[in-house]
Amino acid sequence: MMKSFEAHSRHNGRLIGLTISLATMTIAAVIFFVPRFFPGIFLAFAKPFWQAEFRIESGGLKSVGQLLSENESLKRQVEESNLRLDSVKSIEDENLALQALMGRASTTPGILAAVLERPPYVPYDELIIDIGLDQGLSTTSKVYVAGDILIGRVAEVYQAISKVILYSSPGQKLEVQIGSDHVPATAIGRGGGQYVAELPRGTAIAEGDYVNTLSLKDRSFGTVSRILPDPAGQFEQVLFALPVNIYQLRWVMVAR
Amino acid sequence: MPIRIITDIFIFIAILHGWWFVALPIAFLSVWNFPYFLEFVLAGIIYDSLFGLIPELGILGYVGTIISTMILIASGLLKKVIRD
Repeated sequence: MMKSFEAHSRHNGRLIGLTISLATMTIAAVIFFVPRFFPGIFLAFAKPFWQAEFRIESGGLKSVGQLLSENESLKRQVEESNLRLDSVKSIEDENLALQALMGRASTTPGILAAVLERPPYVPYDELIIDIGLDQGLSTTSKVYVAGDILIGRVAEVYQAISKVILYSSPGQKLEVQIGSDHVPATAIGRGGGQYVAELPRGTAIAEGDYVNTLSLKDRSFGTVSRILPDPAGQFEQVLFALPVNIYQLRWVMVAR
Repeated sequence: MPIRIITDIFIFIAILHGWWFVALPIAFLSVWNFPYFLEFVLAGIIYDSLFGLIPELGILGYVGTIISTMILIASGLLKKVIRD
């Protein structure tokens, strides 16, 4: 009796093991041959939850009094910022006029996208935005904040949702220019919105120098925060970060 | 059985928000307490589907599936050794 029970139990165990192995191989095959199958399903399922969370964060559950007070405070901050930006605006207008004169004015339309998920909850310095193929996005679309600060590009596009990989994601590279001498360098992502570039020792750059992308249209990419010399080596490491906090991004602009 | 379902719901909500630091300890304990806790592997697949599986990430895009599978297999073998 005991022997038949043990044999039955072993048989059941083998059956379960075989079923699990077959299921695993099937899932692995689907992921390998149709890599967008599972993401398409799960992203479509998750999007309504993320959108509801986004609306709540935007003040959907706040009282009228709270919203009015917050509105007034934000209006005051905007007025103060506008005053400070007047002088910057005049320089920007002059720059755009010069670009137009040289035939380099930007004609790329941008689409506003809500950031549904962002670091640190999303790993790998990645954003999930609420537009996709329905708005004409593709994997060549660039992503900006504050209008013209380049932060990343669209990596995966689905019907109504997209994944954006930031250039600060570990291992990502972007060609930049540093300082007033426009020293060319390769910015390598370190994660957390941080970058590092390796330059020969003695290069004429200093902390606070602006870092720009190679495009005339884009605004400053960041500022040099630290320079780490390597006493034994021929190079020094230049650390810089985006001028925006990627952990608080709520809106981005996508250039198609 | 209800505890397992409640645990699954907690893990699913955590994965949906990308809270791997919440889902992982719960799943790790559940693997020991419940037999054939395959929901762990499913959670890893869902996590990778939502936040990974980007070609630029390489192997990092599959880290959820890989880690959940490895922990499930390791715990299964360990449980077998302890029982024997």
